[in-house]
Amino acid sequence: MRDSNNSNKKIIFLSVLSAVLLFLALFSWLSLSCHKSLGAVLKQVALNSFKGGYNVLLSPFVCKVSIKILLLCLGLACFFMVFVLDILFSKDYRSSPSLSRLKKIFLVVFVIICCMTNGFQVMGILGDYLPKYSNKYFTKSSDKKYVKFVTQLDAYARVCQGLLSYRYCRAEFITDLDLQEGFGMTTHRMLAYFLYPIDIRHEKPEEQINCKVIFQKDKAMDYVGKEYKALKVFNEKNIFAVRNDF
Amino acid sequence: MTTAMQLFISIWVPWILGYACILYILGRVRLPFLLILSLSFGMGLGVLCQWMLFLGMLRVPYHLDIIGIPLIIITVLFFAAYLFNRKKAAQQPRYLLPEKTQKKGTIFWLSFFYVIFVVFVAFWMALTIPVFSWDAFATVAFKAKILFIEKTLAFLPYSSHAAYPLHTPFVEAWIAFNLGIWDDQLIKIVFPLTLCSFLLINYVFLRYFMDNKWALFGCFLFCSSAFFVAHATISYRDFFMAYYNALVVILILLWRKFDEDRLLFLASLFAGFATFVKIEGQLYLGISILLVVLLLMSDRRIGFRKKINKSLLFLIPSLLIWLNYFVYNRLILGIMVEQKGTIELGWEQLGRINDILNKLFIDCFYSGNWNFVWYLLVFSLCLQLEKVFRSQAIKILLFLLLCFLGNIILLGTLTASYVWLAGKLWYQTLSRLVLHFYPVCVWLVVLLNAPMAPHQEQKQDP
Repeated sequence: MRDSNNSNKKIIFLSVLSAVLLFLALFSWLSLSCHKSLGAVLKQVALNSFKGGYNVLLSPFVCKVSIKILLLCLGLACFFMVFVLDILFSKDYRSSPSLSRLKKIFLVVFVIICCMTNGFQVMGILGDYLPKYSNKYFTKSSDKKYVKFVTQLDAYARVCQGLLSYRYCRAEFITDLDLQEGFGMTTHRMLAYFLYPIDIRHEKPEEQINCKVIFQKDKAMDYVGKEYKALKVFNEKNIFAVRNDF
Repeated sequence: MTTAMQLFISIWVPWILGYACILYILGRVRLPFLLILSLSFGMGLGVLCQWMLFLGMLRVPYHLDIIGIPLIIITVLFFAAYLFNRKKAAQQPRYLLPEKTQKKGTIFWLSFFYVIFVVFVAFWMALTIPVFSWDAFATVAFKAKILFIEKTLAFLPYSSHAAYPLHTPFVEAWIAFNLGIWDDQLIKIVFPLTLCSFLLINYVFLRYFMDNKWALFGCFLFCSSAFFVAHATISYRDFFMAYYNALVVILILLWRKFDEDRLLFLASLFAGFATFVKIEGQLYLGISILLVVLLLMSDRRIGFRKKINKSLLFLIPSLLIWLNYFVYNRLILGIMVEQKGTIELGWEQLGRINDILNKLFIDCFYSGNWNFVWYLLVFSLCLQLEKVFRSQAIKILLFLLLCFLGNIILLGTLTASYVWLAGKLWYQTLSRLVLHFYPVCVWLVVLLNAPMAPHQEQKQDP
C-alpha cells in the first residue's frame, strides 16, 4: 500500500516536472518564432481562451499555431518523457513497466494538460473578462451595461416606448438594412426585443398597424406618410411615427 | 418587498414544489438528501412550466397570484400526502452512498476550488451581463418578455419559431412576474442555479460508482469545458436541454442499479420535461425509450407482463407531457414544422455523412469548447478496454453516446438541418447539439479511469 502511494507520488512529481519543462520549452520556441516575449505570448493565449462565444468557442491561435494542438503535442511528449524517466528511476530498470502504470502516467499527464487549459481560462476570466465588465459596467442598473453592447438601439427603443407610455402598438419597420442576414438581421432582432411592446416582428392580422419605426433609412421623412405624424425625429435617417388617430 | 426577496421567492416556490413532488413520488425510498434537493430544482421548474402551459391553453391571463397560489396549494397537498403515506409505509429502502475516502489529496482540493471558482464566475456573468446573445434576442428572452407584457400565449401563432417549446421563456417570465419588472440580468439567475443543481446531481450520481475524490474530479471535468460554463450564464435553451437529458440518463442508470421503479417514473417525467425545452428533446425521448425497452428486454429476471408494466411506467408520463404541447401547438394552433425539420430523401444525401463526421471531429477535438475531455475519452477507451466489458453502466453510456452521435448523423443526412450541422452554418448549431450529451462523455471518462470497489462491480453496477 505504502509502495503504491510512493509510486503514485513519483508519477505525479515526474509528470508535473516534465509538463512544466516542456511547457516552458514549447512556449519559448513559440515566442522566439513570432518575435514576442514569453509573457506576451502567454497573455495572448489567456485572453483568447475564454471568449464568451455561444455557438462555438474557437481554439486560440498564436502566430498561426493552434494552442490546442500545441498542448496535445506537449501532453504526448510529456507522456513519453515520464515513461522513460520512470523506467530510468525505477529500482529494476530492465523490467518493463506494467500496463496499469502506463495508464496512470497517461491519466496524470492529461489531467495536467486539462489543468493548463483551465489555467489559461482562469487567467482569461480574471485578466480580461471580469475587469472588462466590472470596472465600467458593474452597476445596479442594467442600463449602463447596454452602453457597451447596443447603445443606440436601446436608447432609441426607450425613447419610442416612453413616447407611447409603454402601450402596445403594432409597427411597420422601414429600413435600408438587409434583414435577411448579418448585421441587419441582428440589429432588427435586437431592436424588436428592446422596442417591445412596440411590435415590429409579429404580423397579427387582427391588429392594425399604428406605428412606423423608420430606422437607418435614407430620406426617412419621405416614408412618414400623411396618415402619420412624426413623434420623434432622431436624425434624417431615424424617425418614430404614429398614426394621427392613435 | 425588496428585489432580493422577490427573487428569492421566485426561486424557492418552484424548488419547494419540486421537493414535495419528489418526496411524494419516492415515498418510502430514501435517497441522499443532496440528490433529492438538487433534483427538486429541475422537477419544480418542469412542473411550473407545465402549469403555465396549462393556464395558457385555457387562456387564463398570467398573473403572479394565478400562477403562484395554486402551486403553493399543490405543494402543501403533496407534502400532506407524503406524510400520510410515510406513516403507513413499513419498509424504507435506503440507497446509501459508498464510504468516503478519508485522504483527500491535491486532486480533491484542486477540483474543489476550481468548481467553486467556476460556479462563482457563472453567477457573476449571469447576473451582471444582460441579455445580448442572438437566440436570446431572437426567440428565448423575446418570447419571455412578450409573455410578461401580454400575459397570454395568443402571440404564439404569429411569432417566429412558433413550434419551439417554451420551457425557458416560461421560467424567465415567471421570474419577471415575481420581480414585477423586466430585468435583463436577474431573469438569468436560473441558469447558474441550474449549473449548481447539475453539479450536485452529478457528484452524487458518480459517488454511487466511486469515491468522493473521483466524483469531484468528474465535476471538475464538467467545469473544464468553457462552452459548458458559458451556456450556464446566457439565456439559451441548450443548458436546460443538457440538464434534463443528463437527469434522464442518471435516473435510468440508478433505476437499473437499485431496481427501483419510482426512479424510472422520475426519469420519465424528466424525459417529458426535456421535450418541452427544445424540439431535440423529442429525439432524446425516443433514445430513452429505446434504452429502457432494450434494458427490459435483456433482463431475464422478470416476466413479460412486468416488462410491459415497467415500459408503460416510462412511456405514459413522458409521452403525455410531450403530447400535451404537441397537440396544442401543432393541432390546435396549427403551427407548421420548422423548415429545417423537413425530410430530404435521396441517395445523394449519403455523401453528407462524411461532412457531418468531419465537422463532429473538428468540434470535439479541435474547437476550444471541450478542453481535452473528448481526447481523454478516446485514450481512456483504448487503455481501459477491459472495463467496458466488465461494467454495464459503461456499456449503457457507450450505447447512448452512439445513439446521440447517430442522431446527429441522421438529422444531418435526412433533413434540411444539414446546413446547420455540417453545411455553411455548422458552427451555429453543432456545438450546442454536442453540449446536450457532453455529460455522457465526462461520465465515461471518470467511470473508465476511477478505480471501482470489487463489491460494487459485482453487486451494484447494473
